[in-house]
Amino acid sequence: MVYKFLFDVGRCIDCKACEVACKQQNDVEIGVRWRRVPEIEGGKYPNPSRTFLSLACFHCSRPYCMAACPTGAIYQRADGIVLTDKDKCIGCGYCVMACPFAVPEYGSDGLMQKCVACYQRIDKGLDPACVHTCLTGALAFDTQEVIAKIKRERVAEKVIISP
Amino acid sequence: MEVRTNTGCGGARVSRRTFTKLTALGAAAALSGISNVGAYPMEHFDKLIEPAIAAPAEAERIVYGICEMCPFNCGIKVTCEEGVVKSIEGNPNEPHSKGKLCARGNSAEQVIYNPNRVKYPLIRTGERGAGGWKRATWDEALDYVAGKLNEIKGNYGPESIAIIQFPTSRMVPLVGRFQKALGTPNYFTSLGTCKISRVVADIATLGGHILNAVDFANAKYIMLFGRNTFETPATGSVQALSAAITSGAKLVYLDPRYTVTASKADEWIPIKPGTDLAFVLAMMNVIIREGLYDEEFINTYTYGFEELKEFIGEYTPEWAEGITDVPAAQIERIAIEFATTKPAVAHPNWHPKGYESETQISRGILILNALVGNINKPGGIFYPRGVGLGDIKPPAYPEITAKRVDGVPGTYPLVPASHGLWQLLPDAIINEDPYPVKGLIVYRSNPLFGMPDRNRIIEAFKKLDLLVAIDILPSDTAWYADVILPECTYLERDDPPMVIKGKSPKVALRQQCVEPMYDSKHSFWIFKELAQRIGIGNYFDFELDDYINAQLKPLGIDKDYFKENSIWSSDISPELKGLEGMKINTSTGKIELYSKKLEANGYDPLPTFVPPKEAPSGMFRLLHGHIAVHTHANPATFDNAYLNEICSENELWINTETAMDLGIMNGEYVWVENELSRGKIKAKVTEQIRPDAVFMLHGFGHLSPDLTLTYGKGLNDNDFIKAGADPIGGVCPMGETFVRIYREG
Ligand code: SF4
Ligand code: SF4
Ligand code: SF4
Repeated sequence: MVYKFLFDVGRCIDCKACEVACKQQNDVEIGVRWRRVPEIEGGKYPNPSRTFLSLACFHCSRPYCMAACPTGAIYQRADGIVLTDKDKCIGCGYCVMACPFAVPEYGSDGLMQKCVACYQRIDKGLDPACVHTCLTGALAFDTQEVIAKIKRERVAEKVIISP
Repeated sequence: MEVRTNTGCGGARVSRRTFTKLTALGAAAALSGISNVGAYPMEHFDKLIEPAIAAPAEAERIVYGICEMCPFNCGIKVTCEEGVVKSIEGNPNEPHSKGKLCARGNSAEQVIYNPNRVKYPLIRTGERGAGGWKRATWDEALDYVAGKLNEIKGNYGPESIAIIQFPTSRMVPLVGRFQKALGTPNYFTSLGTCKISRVVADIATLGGHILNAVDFANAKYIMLFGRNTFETPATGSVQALSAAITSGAKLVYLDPRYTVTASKADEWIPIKPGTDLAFVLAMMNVIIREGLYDEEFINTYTYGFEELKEFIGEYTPEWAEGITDVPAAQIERIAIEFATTKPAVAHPNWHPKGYESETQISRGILILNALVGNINKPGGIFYPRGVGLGDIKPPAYPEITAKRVDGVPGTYPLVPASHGLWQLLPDAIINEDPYPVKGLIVYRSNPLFGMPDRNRIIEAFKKLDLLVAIDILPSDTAWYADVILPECTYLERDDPPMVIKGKSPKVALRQQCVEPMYDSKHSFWIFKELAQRIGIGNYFDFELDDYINAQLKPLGIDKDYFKENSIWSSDISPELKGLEGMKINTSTGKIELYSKKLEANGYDPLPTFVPPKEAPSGMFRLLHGHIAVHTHANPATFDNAYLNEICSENELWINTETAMDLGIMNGEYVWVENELSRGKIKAKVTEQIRPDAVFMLHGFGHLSPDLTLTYGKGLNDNDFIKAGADPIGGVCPMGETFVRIYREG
């Protein structure tokens, strides 16, 4: 069983509840944002467009960050969740360079951190904090089978799945 | 010039994790573990640590309560451990949030553990607004305030003391009790710059205010006239609107600005600001001309259709095209879609568009809903149901003979005195018209920031003998006060219960999660202590628990019920079954398309269109609004480390072509100026706004240096807005604001 995120661009309303839920549930320090919702503006008046992307670590099936880490600080659980081990991290930053989305961030301790897929909540049978609070159902987190099924159901909508 | 910031606010920003550690280690050891402690007087830390140390070590504990970051009061589920709030979620049993919170609700810990909190009572020592304070004990502070109140009352009468309170507080009935016992008519909430005209329109048309009761989830066609649902996030409305869109409802959104809600709409109409009513009237014209109205509903439940029919003849789509900038054919098509797609609903708005004809705009939208017969039916607007709560009967109140200073009800007979028109208070204070107001008690409201024309408010404050701020944070109003009384936050208190009106009413209780930090107190205690000191203690001859239990008594429960249950649910069926058998509280007992109430008070009984003012040449209409992570004027969202990180400064939205004409580049600081003020703000050059209007977010440009996260950032739209009132419903016409924009020089 491997977990995946789903993000549904059509539904996201840029409310940033996910960002803040992440911060408070995981006590992420100010200045570091495990989840962010950037905006892409497009079009021309009177036909502009706004697209919001709620992004965090994708917990890739083949994590480049993990492959690049020289100390083995980045590891993957059997359920696909990619975690960093602070005790092993030396703060070299190879993972950021290797990650196609430049996800890992330096904390004030000079070490790398990123979304932990709320593994403590997952281990208790709960959903991740960001998914839990998402007001529109734009975010989902589940086994890859379930995520694939949701994707099929929302076939008319634009959906991004973790690579 | 150096600004003195000595309300004692500020200090090390303690993360909750650090804070937990602090409580575990004990005072001395912990202090050394925090950076920047030198800047933070020892006694603050004693206070900070004391309650948690006193509490026995506890395992995780769940407390259900009510959020208070914005007016919507969503249900919360708080996880506490060892006397500290660990995390927060929505209460899954609460009908609005359904277990989900917005960004603000999620940021609660940055309010309770904000080092900028007012920590103990403060009495001003220097000039007003200069930042000189001395720490006082509660007795000193309360005696000081009571002494001044007695003095003002003796010199000028009780009416010379005004009270401002935030309108969605659970304390409303108790502060109202204080006001009536004191004998002053001058009680205000912030509704004068919010939805007061909508309230008046609802009462005149539907016989009562129906709040946000729009059944989005079941609608197939939704029209929003600037109701930016996704960026003023009531968690329930957001979920319902989002669900409707997902299930294929068509969303038509009118707004001069391409908001987030616009970006999710099937059709965005960048209507000319202030002309929504013309659009609505033209829709009615088409619906009536084509015979697409719900005849049975009109005949059974409405009054004045014939008058409306005659009145509407001239308001053709062609007429509206010239006014709204929307092609007649588009208006015609939308009118037909609206009348033929069932159910279709138009949200009657919340925060006003800000024009003098606001009441009629709101009425127009309500009438539009009535025409298609979609009231109290699934997918329509509906009369929310509530339940009655009990009370502790107060002794007889003294008779209040003095008139209110805002002209309610004399000049504004329809404006409820339970809100008044706060924006008219500064002029009344300055001109002592009709009599001097010398004392002002502000309970967690922020008039200096939230009302228009800040310079005028500061001038008014100078004429006061006493300005008291009861607040959590050193707001701008608190910064200019004589005395600041620190209130505890919504996570540190029980409160009187809340009726959640809706299809089927529920009742929730705010419950204390952790002990109050520092020397902060419950506002009930503060008002009770003040009451005792000014001779009206007999009105507060009970404890808060007694009051909560008295309120809950008609439900057959008491406070303890909420230890086991996260919500109380009534057995009223949530079904919306139309209006049959319902009593409509208008003089005709019907929904009044033609308002007898307006007629009787000398107003236009039909929603005649009044054009907005034209922008003087070289000026742009200034629009203002909201973003999902902030409120209007509540420093709890602006001086909040989590929310500030996301949005710390406002920008001026300028259309790309307009910016090109003015030679303005994206990201540069530009001047905004009109007859009231001048200031600099960062330009956001964008395709997402009409070329004839500019926009800035509410809530920036705070004056209080002790709001260290937000102080000095951005510009306050209110500085450019004149105080005034819609002659019917009273709202301040904030939309009639024009500014010049220019670069350096
Ligand atoms: S899964 Fe958890 S850690 Fe990852 S972004 Fe969401 S809330 Fe943050
Ligand atoms: S909570 Fe959901 S809707 Fe809101 S920004 Fe995050 S992903 Fe988007
Ligand atoms: S909408 Fe957000 S801030 Fe307002 S009450 Fe609900 S959770 Fe709290």
